[in-house]
Amino acid sequence: MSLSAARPLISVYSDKNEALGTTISLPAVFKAPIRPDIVNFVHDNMAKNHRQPYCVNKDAGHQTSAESWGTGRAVARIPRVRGGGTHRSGQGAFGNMCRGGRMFAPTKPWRRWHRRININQKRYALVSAIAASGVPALVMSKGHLVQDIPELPLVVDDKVQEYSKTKQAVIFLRRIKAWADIQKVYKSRRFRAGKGKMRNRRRIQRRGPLIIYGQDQGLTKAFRNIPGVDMINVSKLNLLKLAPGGHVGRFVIWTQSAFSKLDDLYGSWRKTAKLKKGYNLPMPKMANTDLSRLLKAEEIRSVLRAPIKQKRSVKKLNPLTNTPALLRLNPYAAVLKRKAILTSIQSRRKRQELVAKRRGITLKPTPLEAKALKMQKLRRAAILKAKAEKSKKLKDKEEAKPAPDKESKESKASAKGAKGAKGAKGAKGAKGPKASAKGPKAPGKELKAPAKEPKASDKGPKAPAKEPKAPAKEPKAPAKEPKAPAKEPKAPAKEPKASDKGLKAPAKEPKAPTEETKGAAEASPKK
Amino acid sequence: MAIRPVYRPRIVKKRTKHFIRHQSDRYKKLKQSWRKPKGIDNRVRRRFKGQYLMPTIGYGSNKKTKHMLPTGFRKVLVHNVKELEVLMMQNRKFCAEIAHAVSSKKRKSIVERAMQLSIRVTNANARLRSEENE
Amino acid sequence: MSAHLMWMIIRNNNAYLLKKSNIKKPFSTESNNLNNLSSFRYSGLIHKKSVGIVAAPDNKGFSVVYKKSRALHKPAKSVVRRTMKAGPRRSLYKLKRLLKANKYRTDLTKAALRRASAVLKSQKPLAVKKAHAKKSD
Repeated sequence: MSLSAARPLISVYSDKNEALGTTISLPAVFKAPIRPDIVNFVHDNMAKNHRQPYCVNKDAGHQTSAESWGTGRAVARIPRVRGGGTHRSGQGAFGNMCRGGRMFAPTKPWRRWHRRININQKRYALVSAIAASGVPALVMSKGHLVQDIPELPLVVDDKVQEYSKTKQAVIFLRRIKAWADIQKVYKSRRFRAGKGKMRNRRRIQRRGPLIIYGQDQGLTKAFRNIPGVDMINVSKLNLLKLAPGGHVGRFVIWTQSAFSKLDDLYGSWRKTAKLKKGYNLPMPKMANTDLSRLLKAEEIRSVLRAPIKQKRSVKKLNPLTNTPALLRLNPYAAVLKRKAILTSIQSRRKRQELVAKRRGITLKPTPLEAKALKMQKLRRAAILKAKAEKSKKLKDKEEAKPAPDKESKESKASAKGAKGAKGAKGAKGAKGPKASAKGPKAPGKELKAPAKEPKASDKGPKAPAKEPKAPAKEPKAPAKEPKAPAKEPKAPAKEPKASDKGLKAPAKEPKAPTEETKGAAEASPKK
Repeated sequence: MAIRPVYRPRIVKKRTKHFIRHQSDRYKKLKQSWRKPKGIDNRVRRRFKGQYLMPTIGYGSNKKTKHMLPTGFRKVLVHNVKELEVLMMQNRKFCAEIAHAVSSKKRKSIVERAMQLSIRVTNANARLRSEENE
Repeated sequence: MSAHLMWMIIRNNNAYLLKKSNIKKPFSTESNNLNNLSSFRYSGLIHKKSVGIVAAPDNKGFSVVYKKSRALHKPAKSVVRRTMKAGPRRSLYKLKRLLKANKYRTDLTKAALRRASAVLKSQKPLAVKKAHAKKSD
């Protein structure tokens, strides 16, 4: 748009859709301001210029000697036909509401049919329309299917002007990928909606591409039978063709000679047009139309008032009732609350157990506990499996190169543990290689196991020997609280582990069910 | 599960009765549809007690619930699948209504596509049972 | 030409405008319009960079269509189409990276992701309705 805007080189395409190598710098017209309002106005008025006068007969409805009867006859004061002896006498006449009367405001042949348009305005409109035909967005927004054409503005070799057969023209349009637009024309052929059908405007269709040529050497005859295609000479450009409907952005195919003539026809801002007398391109109103850039420009921003930023009122919330508000004030409240809930659950459960014990009923595990148990079972199986596999791998390696027997034995044991239901011993045996291999991970995993144990032991019918429970509780609480430092759980985790192991040996009866599910099955009948 | 609207306020209708034309109860030639009385002595125009009420702007609906269906959607008339696709990203704001002149054959395809795009269709069941009943 | 000016020209009259009764904001049927709304931001025509999400040709996965801002005047070359069909998690992530890493329309990223997941969702087989006991007529 701006005067200084770079004018790119437009390449010329052959009729086979190949760039010929010749380039033309973009004529200045294509940088002219696009003013849809002017185009619309000029188009509106130009479209009136091919109208033919029409009117009704000036005597229509007035060929009687009707006269009003005046008041006092209890009829309307409309003029009435004179005389008697026929039905017509006494009927109303002249008025537009009367049968046989004239129409309201009968049309006259001296209506102002045509409009004179200022020549500069016409040129402005034309220049706008040409400029818009070079902008892909505007051409597409008009509904033209130009997504496959090589370039816009589309300039083709002068060979096209020499076409004399429609067949050649069709092949050309197909090759240049403009055929989609014509297919759209074919698809759009239909009958007009409304009364226009009976007024000799029965069929309608879309507009296709407009071909602008420098010299007609048969081109018009070649293209004229392709629906939707229009042809005009550059020196006779017509706004009605370039901006049909008063809307800019028609798909235009230029021949090379036509395209290179544009600078002579319209000149630029510095050079007057050669072929028109004293014509320069219109000046754009704005040099830069990019609003977002303008608003970012320092020159403009410095003049503008700073935006008024309204502070949003903050809703006051009662931290005693609203938990998020409480947490904002005291993040540790989350831990406390959680702890309170857990202890309350535990104590309730304990009470229930006591009652159950007194009555001699075994309590069913709560759904949460059941889930935990299930998960534990699954995880344990997975761990055992992983260990087994690992030891297998180790074994394979060791077989490959002779290694200390101890480890291999242990791994074997673990493998057995996985297969056979030796459970605790197997796991113990596996600990050796695992600890060595996994190092830091191992204790972490162990940690979880004891954490769940108290629950499991709760379930285990009469298991609750207090010794395993007490140490196990400690790690559980911190493990569930996410914010508690990670170190803590680890440290106690080791202790219960040790204690677990210690317990395993002396007090196997309470431990067994928790440690191994199969063991649990066996152990429970024991009790 | 039917698709639910994003925003479903309580829709308040300030008046649910029709406004009927003055004296349409008296003469058959006067239809019920509202016409503003223009007469110089007209008692409805002068808002006498016990007369018909005249529509005023005060009866207007809240902008947020205007044209809203009881489900919380606004309906968009749809003639074909292409028009339906437009609603793809607004499927929780607008629902589709298939235009009356669409045949049962094309209705089926529209309804099917609407199911895929999870667009609610107000009249999805229209013209469905033809063969089973006859 | 700036997008703002083009928008002013196109805004009230273009081939893709779709107005519906009782709905104030007009729709738009053009391709590359993520929300199918006629607005400056979502317009697929006027911007140097624009994003569109369509179902892949075989209706498995989606394709991202975006414009090369350099080849603005060469319609055939300006459009890039990338098909993503590696499952929703991966392809949505890829899409997000595509738009965010190059700062290619960061304002449309969310809308693009939404549309992509809507497309993916539409390709899933429909959940079979539990047939309620049909009333026998």
